Amino acid sequence: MTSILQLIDVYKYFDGSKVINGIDLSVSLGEKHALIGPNGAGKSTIFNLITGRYSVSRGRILFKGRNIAGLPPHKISHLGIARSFQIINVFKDMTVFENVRNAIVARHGHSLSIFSLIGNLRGIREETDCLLERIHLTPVQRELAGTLPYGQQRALEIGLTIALDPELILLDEPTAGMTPGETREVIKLIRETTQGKTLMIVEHDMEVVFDLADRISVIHLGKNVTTATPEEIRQNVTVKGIYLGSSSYCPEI
Amino acid sequence: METQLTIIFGLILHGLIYGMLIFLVASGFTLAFGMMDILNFAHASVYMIGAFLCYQIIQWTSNYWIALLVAPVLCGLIGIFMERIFIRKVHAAGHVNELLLTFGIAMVITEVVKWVYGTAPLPISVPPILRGSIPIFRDVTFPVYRAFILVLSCTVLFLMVLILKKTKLGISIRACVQDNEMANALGTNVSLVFMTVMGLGSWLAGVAGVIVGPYLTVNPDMYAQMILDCFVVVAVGGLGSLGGALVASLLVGQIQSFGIIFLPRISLILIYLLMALVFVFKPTGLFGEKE
Amino acid sequence: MRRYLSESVVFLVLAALVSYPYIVGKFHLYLMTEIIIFSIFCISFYLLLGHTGLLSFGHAAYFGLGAYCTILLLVHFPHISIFIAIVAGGILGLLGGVIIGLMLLRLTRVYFSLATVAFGQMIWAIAWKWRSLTGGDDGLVLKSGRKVFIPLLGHFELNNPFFLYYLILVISLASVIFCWLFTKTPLGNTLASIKSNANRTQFLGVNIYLAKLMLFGFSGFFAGISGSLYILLERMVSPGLLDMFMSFDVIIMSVLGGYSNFVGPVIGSFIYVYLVEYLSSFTDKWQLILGAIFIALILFCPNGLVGILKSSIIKRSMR
Repeated sequence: MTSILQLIDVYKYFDGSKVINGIDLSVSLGEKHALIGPNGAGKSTIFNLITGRYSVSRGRILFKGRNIAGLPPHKISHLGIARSFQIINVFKDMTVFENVRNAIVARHGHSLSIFSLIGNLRGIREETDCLLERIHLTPVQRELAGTLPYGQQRALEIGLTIALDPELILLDEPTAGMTPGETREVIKLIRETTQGKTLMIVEHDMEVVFDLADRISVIHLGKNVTTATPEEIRQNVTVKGIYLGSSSYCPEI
Repeated sequence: METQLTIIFGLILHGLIYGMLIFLVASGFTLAFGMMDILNFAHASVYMIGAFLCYQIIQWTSNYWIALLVAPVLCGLIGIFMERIFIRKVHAAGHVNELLLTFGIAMVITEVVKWVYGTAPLPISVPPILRGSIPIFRDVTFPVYRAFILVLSCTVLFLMVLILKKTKLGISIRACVQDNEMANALGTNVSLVFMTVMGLGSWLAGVAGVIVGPYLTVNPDMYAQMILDCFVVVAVGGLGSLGGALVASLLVGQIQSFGIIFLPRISLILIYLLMALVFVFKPTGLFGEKE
Repeated sequence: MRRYLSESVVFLVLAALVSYPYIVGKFHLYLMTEIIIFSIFCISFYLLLGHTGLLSFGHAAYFGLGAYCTILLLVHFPHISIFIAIVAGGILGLLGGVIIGLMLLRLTRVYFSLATVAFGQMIWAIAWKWRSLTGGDDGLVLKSGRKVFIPLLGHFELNNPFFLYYLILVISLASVIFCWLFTKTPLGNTLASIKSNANRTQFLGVNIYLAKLMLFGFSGFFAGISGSLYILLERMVSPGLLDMFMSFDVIIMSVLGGYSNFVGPVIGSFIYVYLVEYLSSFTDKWQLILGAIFIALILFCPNGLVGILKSSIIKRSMR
């Protein structure tokens, strides 16, 4: 299996403290790869490093063989990586339709165009409607995004990520704060929308992780402790030790 | 050879004095932002009010020292008043409204000052004790009053550092700058600390206003000049960083000082060029927050 | 019936504007001309603040750049076409916007606002110091007696208040239309999304710096145009046209009328011009009173008078 993303000996320092402490990680093309680990282990930081929000202190990040460490976020987006955010980061005072349209227009590269009116751009409306359908938000398309219930905002959050038609999708705790019912819906949505794509997901909910993931990497103290299949992780003594005391990890599944 | 050295020495001292004056004003401004997320355009107005109060008190009492004692305290009270009455109301509505409000207040204060005192510069004479010059080395003399400014502002700076590092108040202030919600949760009376910082910051601006009187003149343009220098300082040094404000103030002081002599035609815009450079390479200021 | 409300209002307003010179005397015509010029200035400011959320305290710089450019061209090249002089003023405003914008690009909102004060003052300082070009504190004066040639209509005197009014009205209407269309382009939408969430916009793959730079250029162009038009009306320029108080004036106008849509700035200009007229007729402390009114507005109705109207309409419709 070819790898689409590789983190090679990556370090990130913040004011002297090593938040990421020498990470080696490899994600294969088309796989669903989960990042788990205790809070503060550095999982969101890894996403920030990959997407260019933070600069790498040391090391390389290879996407399809090319080093993307140091590129600005919008360039990395163009290369085919898109992320969702742990804290919902949509356009709260724009309508759901406008939210999605922003992403579609961006994908087509028309965001800076002044030679047409946005209402007249060919095909944008259809694509926006199509995506709204996929994330099941067509009935609320005229509502302001900030007024939606949490579960729908999450769906929109994921929608903005996949609208860019990325090859590598990064989802940062997509089920945070959800009821079990909402979680099931979101997992269904994630499965539908990431078919055929490579997915990296940070999650605390172990049911979600074991349900979705092909492989899991355990991040602890800024390092990748191990990368393995869900079965292997379940048996792994070190991992159990890391989670000792955590009720979200249940050995009896 | 000797005269060149003395000229340069003089310029450095002049830049130092001006830099310290800016720092006295800018420190309050940057702390208010770092701690309370307050952007107060009218902070430099307090500086101007200090200068005019000094003039007025001298008119009444013919005593500079009373002015030095009283005017800054009044300024401190004015600062607290502004925060309680005006800024608090508008803070919740966002930065835009806060900037607009304090800008409006500053404009109004400038107009009031023009109304009461006219637009001509008002002279304040140096108090008798501080007149004359003292010899520094060989046959170079230095005006006593300028030495006084330097000593006073450095003393104030030293006291500030002492308070911040050693006293309970100082620790509370630093905690609040870092994270005021946490400080609150840990028992610090954040509201009181805010008020103190506001009052102290305005007091400092008042002190600067009083001591600048005999050095430069007192006039309604003081606001515009100082607010610009303040901005440059906090922009270059980073909002919320006292250390950055100090470094930037000294830098700006030196640039002004040398600029006027060596590059008079563009001296006015040298500061802006410095700002521009910082903005391009480090948009949050030399010592500002990251990313 | 309701659908055509805004169209009919627009039509009525246009009709009023076109017939205005025949209805009122010279003085009010002069004021209206001023209002129209300031409206363009305010709309260019609205593009920054209302549309993209960027508060600039140095916007007068581009107004002044346009004014100085136009008057310098008209003074040094007496036979140059008025239209070229006006467009040149706009272009200088655009250049100013882009050059200063380059330095403001990566600044977040707070630093941005602070920086605009400084750069605005910098332009003022240059205008003030460069006596040989700008006349320094004394400014420059344009001699009257100029003739303008309009194809199909013939020659007109620039002094003629009727002609001047229509000339400025036509150019301003065109400007308003361009600015309005600008907000409806994909770039306009992107700027609105930057206002809503700049961070997410970046993660969608948009180069927000380039977007902002284009905005600065566009906004600077129309601020410059309004400055050029101002020269046609007043025929003189001085550094006071680009000082902090002028930048404050455009802010006052925006707050008076509200800055959440296009209509606000226009109404704000109207109120401002007449308010200043009224206040200065009985006191020379009118600037002070204006400042006090401004402060009261910020404290009590930050959405401006358009905002008050809107909320009272909403309240009525909820009964």
